[in-house]
Amino acid sequence: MNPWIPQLTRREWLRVGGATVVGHSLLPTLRPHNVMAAETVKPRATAETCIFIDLMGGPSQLDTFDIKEGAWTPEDFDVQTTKQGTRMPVGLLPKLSERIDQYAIVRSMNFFENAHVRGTYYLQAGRIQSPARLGEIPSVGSVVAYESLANRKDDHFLPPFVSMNMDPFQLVGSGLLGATSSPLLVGQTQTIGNRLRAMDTSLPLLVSDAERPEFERRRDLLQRLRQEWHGGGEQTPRIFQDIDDYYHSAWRIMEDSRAADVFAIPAADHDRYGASGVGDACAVARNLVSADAGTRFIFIAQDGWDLHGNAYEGNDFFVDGKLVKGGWNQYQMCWDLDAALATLLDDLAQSKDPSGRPLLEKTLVVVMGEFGRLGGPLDGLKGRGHNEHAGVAVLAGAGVQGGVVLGATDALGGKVDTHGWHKDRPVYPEDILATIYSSLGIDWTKEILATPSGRPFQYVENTSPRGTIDFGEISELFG
Amino acid sequence: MAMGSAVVGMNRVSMFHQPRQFASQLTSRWVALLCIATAPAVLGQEPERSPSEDASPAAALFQEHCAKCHGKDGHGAGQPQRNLVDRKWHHGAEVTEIEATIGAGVAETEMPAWRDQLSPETVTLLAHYLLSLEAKKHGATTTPRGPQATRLTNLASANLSTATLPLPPDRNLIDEYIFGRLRKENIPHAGLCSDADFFRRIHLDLTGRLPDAAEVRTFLADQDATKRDKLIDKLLGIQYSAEPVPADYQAPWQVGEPFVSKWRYFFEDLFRNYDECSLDTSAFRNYLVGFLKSNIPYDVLVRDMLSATAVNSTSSGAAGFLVRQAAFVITHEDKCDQNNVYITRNFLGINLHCISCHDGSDHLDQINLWLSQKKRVEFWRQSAFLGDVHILRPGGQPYYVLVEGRRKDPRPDAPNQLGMAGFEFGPFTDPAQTDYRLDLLTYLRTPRDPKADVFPAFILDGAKPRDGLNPRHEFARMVTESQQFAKVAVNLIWAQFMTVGIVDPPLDWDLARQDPDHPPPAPWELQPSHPHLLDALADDFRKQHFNLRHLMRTICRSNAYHLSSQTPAGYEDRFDRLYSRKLVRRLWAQEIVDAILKATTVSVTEKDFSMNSKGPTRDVLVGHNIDLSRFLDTFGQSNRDTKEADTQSISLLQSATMLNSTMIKSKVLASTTGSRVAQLLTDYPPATWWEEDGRVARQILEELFLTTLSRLPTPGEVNVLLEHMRQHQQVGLEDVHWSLLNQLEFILNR
Repeated sequence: MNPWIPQLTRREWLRVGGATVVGHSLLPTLRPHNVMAAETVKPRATAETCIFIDLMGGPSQLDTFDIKEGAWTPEDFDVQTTKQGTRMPVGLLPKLSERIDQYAIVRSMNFFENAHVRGTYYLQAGRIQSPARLGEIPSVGSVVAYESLANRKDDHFLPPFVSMNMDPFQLVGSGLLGATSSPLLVGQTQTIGNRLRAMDTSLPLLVSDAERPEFERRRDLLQRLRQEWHGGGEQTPRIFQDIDDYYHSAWRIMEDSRAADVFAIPAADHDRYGASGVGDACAVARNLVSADAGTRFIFIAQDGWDLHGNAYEGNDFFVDGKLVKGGWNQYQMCWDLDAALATLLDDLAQSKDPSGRPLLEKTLVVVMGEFGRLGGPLDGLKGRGHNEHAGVAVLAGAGVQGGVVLGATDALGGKVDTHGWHKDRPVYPEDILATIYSSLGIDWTKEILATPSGRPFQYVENTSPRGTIDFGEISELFG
Repeated sequence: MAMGSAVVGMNRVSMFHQPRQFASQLTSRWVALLCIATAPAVLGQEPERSPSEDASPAAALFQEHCAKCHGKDGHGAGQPQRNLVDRKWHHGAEVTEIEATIGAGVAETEMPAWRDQLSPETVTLLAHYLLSLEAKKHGATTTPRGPQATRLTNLASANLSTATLPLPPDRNLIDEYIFGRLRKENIPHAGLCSDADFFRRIHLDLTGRLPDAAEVRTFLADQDATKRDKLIDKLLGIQYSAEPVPADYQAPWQVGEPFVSKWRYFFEDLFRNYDECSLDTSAFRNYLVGFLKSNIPYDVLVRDMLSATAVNSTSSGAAGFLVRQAAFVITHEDKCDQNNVYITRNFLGINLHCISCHDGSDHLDQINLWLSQKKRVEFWRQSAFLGDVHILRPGGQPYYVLVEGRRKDPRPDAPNQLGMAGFEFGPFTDPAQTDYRLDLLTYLRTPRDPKADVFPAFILDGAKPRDGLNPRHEFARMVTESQQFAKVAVNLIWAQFMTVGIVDPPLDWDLARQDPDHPPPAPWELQPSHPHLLDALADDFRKQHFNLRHLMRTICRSNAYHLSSQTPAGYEDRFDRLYSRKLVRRLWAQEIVDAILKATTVSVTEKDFSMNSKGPTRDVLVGHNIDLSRFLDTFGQSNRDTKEADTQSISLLQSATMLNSTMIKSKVLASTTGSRVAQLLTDYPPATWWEEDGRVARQILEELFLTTLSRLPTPGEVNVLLEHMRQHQQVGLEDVHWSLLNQLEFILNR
């Protein structure tokens, strides 16, 4: 035992962690319990839930929300000045161009990574990938889940953290926060071929009406059978009881017919959301928010933005061994996002909670990729290379003022030249992270001192790859 | 899916709680009454009490162990052959005969052999109690007199749950240390496990597979006192001998496939054999299979891997280790560092990640005493052993080149020459001139210190390579000759069998906290639970030429390994580290899949790879079979890259997966071709089930229990399941098999 690190038994941990039962380790392990905060900041607490759409691959800012018009711009991008005075590619983002007053755009993003795997890690964990700490660093979603455990109510039948369409091998899990804060994985990896496929929302936790008689018959049989097991009464190893507890928790969800509804996507919604993987995920995200059943962080991956070649013309790809010619390009990626995000914003604005408040007012939506692309004309491959010196983030809901545009890039769109916010430096992923935490009412200066490595875990780390930076909330986004 | 504890508590089916509460009251009452019990009371002489109200220790023992089948009052619970008070002593009416029957069980019936679970004294008490039950029923008295009465009085006044159940004898050096400490500190401990428990346990631990039903039957009926040892040797591929050191091994081509398959998978996880960017993995896999089949000494394996060269890694398995650890790393120095980290972690048990970027001081002071005194430059020096190794991947090829060479132009500012052209190759034996340099910027890392001395030196003792010898070969020798290498190996294997390492986690050692003669300064404590055992096992491992199968055999032959997993009265969490019972382990993800396949006889894919020698390898899975892939992820399979196998956690999603995933549900269907249920329905049509008082239905149940849980059902289980089958017929049988896959013990090795 390491005497410097306070030890908790597994039982104690279960109590400390709000006695929640997503999962745990079989052996007594170290768990965080001395969370400290500098108490110098006041979280905004405008959101109950955050929906984070990860544009995996790194979208081109100058072909989306930071449009730059040049000789390279195809005519059918149809760039127009919206009612707010912002130029938008109506040909790529028709619905979102109409709704320019519903979201804010940050155009002064900078990143620390320009490789996909490390960048995707950075977005999820909010810090550089340290090989020494891979096992213990939790993702942002897990921190949000962990923070939400104390406030869970009896009718919260859904997990605090749901991750959709994410490649499990790129997913950052719950690290030192343990299985209680780990994500429920739904859907399938968004390869290019999978883009067109309806999201697979099958989960062992869901029982359809048709399956219900069998489910109940078997559950009753199993309960009767377990009473007969002569495991030795009091001397039965405790793990048997622990696993049985999880069975009962699983039954709790399976018995609730609302769970299946949350993960069901009606055909009409599938079409309205653009009939794509990201669209289906957004429809489920809407269901998760309106169910108000304890889900606090929803992660959605839309992969395919890494357009190194033929970005405008299109690339061939395969679906189930069949060739689809030219369908993978900037247009299709944008159209998928456009339908999904616009419909999500509409639905959240129109649906109201029991007190009559629109759901969008208490839901923060964040859309961004792991970095931007190089500016100017397309390169020799007719695509764009990676660029950590520019990029965009889109935020909406939870008090974010629609129509706000922060910062600007130069004429070619590859480098930030106006920051547009009070810290007068580029906006980093950590600043977006602090904004998410603030909006969710989480003090982003908190740190967990007792970690397996012994190194404190800071919710937002101030030692970046470019030295110490005072990261913080982007208050300009809020009204 | 989290939810408040109150929810879980409220939702729990109350009737499920009752048996446990009952057991708990029973035990405490029994212990409390032990001190005042007298011999006549033990024998149930108080006529006004019915047996089930008898609060004597013997009565409590009877209620706990016997009443389930024989009824609370011994009337046989409706089954004449189980009646103990009908004066028909089928197996002898003398106390000694009754004791023998309890101890050995009755073949071909459900009466188990209790000698492994109950002490001789307990069996004696029970035998007398049975006689008293019968006597009471028939109005006689059987008060023992003389010495026997005194003995029974003494027995009844002792705490049977702990003190009178002696530790099994020491069988080998493991027991001397494990039991020695339990005896010295008077720690409550479990008894030996039953034959059925052992049979399933050893199969899962050595081979990762469930045994066949027929094998279970044969083993339980076998009267050979050495049957457990014989089984261990058989599964290991050793010609049986009683000697502590095996005399003879099976020829490689005769070695059982399951054993090789399980440990090949284990070492592939450990050495991260993953098809990064379509890299070939089969050469390294086949190499590990050869190592296991031929029982190559472990130090020879490691030396071979650390010294390997390959012009093409698809044709050199040994190169697989160094090649893999350098994947995705661009700079030469980073490849050296990465390999240094993984070599030191896997073979010396030390995590050098932290000091690869900074000194230990001011960083690790409260984490690892030894590492806190280590400097970054010492890490560099050890990396320099690998300085001449170049690992290059020809563009787009599924293999690497691993050669020893030096830059032709040694100037720091020499242009970077890609490929082999910039190197010269040959026997480089001057360690002062390895091509590991500190004056270069490395990828995504801080600049290094060009003034530092980075001549190769071993991190454990500063040893330098001998003049004229290849530094890398010298490094391989230093690693494998160190006592630490042997200790890490035995501890790692130990942890797979005993669930917790003597140093735990098994690959996270603090070398300043190992020596009991030189304990670390307060408040640090020694890291290993049994430091002397660790050294003794390591010495034995070295003496037996790093023979992995001998090591496993020694562990499996110890009585410590044969303890039951039951928690004895007075048990505390901290006893887990003392091995006073066998710690339950959850099956590895791939073991659970194999167990499902074995129990249901339905393969996962048409290729059936899980049941053949390849095993469910991750590279086959991704993108190919989403059900299986998700199943394995849920149970924590390693991705052999960023994620190590998680064999410890249990979760709600795991339970839901067992209850309701296609992996499980499709395999219990009668309509699924080749399923166990389909076979049973063909062999035993439902019309025949209820003939002769349900003899066939019972036979079906027995078959399902033996193939799925490797044990016979209890009478209570039989009653519940028969009733269900009677009500639902064919569908009922599907439900029954599903319910056995969902018995809590299915995914555990206890």
